[in-house]
Amino acid sequence: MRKVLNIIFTVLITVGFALLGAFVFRSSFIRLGYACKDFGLSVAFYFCEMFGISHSITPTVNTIPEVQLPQVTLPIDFDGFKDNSVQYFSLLFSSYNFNGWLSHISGVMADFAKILVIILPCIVAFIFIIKALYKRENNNHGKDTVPLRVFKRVAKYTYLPVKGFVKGYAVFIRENRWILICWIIMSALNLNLATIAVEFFAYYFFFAVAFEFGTVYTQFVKLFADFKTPFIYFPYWTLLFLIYPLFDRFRKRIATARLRHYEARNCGFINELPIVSLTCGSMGKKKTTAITDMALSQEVMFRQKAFDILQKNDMKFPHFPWILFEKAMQAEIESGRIYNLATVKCWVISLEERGELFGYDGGRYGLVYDNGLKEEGIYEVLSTYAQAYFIYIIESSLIVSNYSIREDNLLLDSGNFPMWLTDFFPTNFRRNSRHAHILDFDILRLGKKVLENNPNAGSFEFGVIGITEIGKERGNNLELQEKKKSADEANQKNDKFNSWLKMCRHSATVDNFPFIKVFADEQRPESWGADARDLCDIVNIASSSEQKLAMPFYTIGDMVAEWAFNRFIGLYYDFRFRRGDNTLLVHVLKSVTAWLWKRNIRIYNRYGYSVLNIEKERGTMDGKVSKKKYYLMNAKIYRKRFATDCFADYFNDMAMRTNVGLNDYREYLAECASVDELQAQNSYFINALYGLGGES
Amino acid sequence: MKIFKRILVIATLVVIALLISYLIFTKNNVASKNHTFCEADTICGNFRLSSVNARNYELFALKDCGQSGRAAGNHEISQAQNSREICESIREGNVNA
Repeated sequence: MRKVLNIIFTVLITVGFALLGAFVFRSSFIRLGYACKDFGLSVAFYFCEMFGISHSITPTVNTIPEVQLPQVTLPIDFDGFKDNSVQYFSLLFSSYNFNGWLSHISGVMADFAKILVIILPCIVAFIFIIKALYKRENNNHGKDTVPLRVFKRVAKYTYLPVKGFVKGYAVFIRENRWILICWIIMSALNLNLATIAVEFFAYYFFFAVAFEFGTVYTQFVKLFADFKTPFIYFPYWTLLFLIYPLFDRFRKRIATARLRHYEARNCGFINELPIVSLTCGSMGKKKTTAITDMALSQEVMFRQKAFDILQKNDMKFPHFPWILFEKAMQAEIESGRIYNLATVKCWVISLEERGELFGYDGGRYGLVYDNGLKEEGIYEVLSTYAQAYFIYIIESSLIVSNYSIREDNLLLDSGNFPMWLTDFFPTNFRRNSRHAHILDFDILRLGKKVLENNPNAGSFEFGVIGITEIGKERGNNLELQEKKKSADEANQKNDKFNSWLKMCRHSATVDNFPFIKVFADEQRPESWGADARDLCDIVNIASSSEQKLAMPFYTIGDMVAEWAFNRFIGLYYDFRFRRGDNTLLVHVLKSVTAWLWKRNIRIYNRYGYSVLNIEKERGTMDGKVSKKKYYLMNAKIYRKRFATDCFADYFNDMAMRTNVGLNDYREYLAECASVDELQAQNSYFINALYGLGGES
Repeated sequence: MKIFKRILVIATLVVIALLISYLIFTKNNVASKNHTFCEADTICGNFRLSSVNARNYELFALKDCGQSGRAAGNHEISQAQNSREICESIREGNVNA
């Protein structure tokens, strides 16, 4: 039924377009006929001139057809245009013209003032009536007033069905885009736009061989005349419906380009960091947000770097059948024989032993690549290629962390060379998700392990490590005083985690590039032992800016949304304090305000960002501090990437075990605490004063 | 800072709107090929109406001219009539051109 309705509606609109073309915009079609004639003659003229064929063709593209004359607004010849221009500029800077304009403006203002004088008292009266009406308090919880019930009933049978139909019809049109294309073509024909396109090509062919610059002005005259057709039937302000979406798209493009630029700057900042970095700052300074953001960017950079290595190694043996090599490797991955870089290297060695080259003609194309410094054999290059391909193709997160990070990179594979979609700012967000791997700290321990015979131990080769609150995990020298290196159980002194930190790049290096980065955060750098901390750069978050918007020309929109929200919210909660029912005015105002507010929030979420002011220093903390900026883009980092309360479950669990809440805590009975109240604090200090409990 | 930015944006928009309005106003005067008419029209103190309607002066402006001449109170209808004659002569000139 719905589909039939859509089809009938489509046919009606199409017939409407056709009828408009036949009865209203007939002159456009006559004009198109002239344009086609111009085009035909120009093409003939072009070919005759190009191939030196003698002819008597006179192109008509430079003559203004009679049908177009009523629409010509510019002077017919250039001299007339010059005269008008001189007239215009002399008038523009003349005092009497300016005085006339001032009179004109004052007239408009006077009209506006008259309207205001009529409307203002009405608004004031309306506000007084509404205030008087809404002063009456009630507790009719959730009940609709009579006007609201009527409004909802009318909307149910008028607005809602129309809205539902329009929404459904928009989906129908999106599914059948050819209908939209047909309408666009018909509109272009009706509104004379097709003529402009045909005339453009007609003049292009003429000018390409004639080079008569004197004819350019005539084309402008014709162009302006052709453009006038829509405005014979529609007022100029209707252009707003066309211009606003274009303007909106333009400013959103600028915003996306800016965000990508900031992301590129972030990547530059991350690349400057050593393999291990420690981000510090007091609570709420966005430390974990920053390291999550860096981990996400670093993963993308690793994929891009692997791709870069693939491209360069491909060029070393340009005629090697790489696709066969890749497919063979994919089969090994799927069968589970290749699962890390070590097995990749073994597989290439086995290929070398078998002399397998996938049909590559080594005799013809060569088996050695000379880069000017050294020679590389084909299997050496294959080993590098295979390792980079493994890092590139592995379809799971490259992030291993002690808290969850969501990512939405997508591998597109049509059976040939797969490509990653890693853009953080696409027009339509990707809905697929995967999460970071759980960090088993035993994989980072070269010495004793917490879990004896841990099957994961020693498996970690490359990737991005994210560790939040590393000081609490690793401790510092003071905190570890009681720990013994010779203890039987694993502890921070005998697990050789620091040795792993110092040597981690060895397992992760492919083509001289280390595919490993460790991002950690802690409130104070001193909370992490100096042996490990000295390896890092310390990224101190000095401050975080307020929210900014990358989208230009949004000040008015922002202002309107903020004004509407602030105005309404005061009124609304005053109303809610007094009354429990739902009224028509509040219903309408709330709908409008909520629409504006939601739109504003969406804009800020998509195109908003904040800047972290960073002071970077060496881990030894004895060098100069360099000031940097790091950009946190909302669309990237706040799209459900991580939970700021990542350890919340521990506290939830603890709270669930008790039967006490904030309400149950004792309150002081007066401004001065009694002895009993002081002792209820279980404070070391108070207990010491009263000689209670253990030593303080 | 935010308020300053907003004031600046609104002021810029107002200035742009006024500028466009002035450019269009001037263009309409030229389009009418009639600014002599406007000059003549100042006699009847009704520059605004006549220049706005200049493009349609055949239909409206002459009438407005006479009306505003009366409205101004300082000018005789004969003066307005005078401007009408000038207008007509210019119009004929334009037609001839």
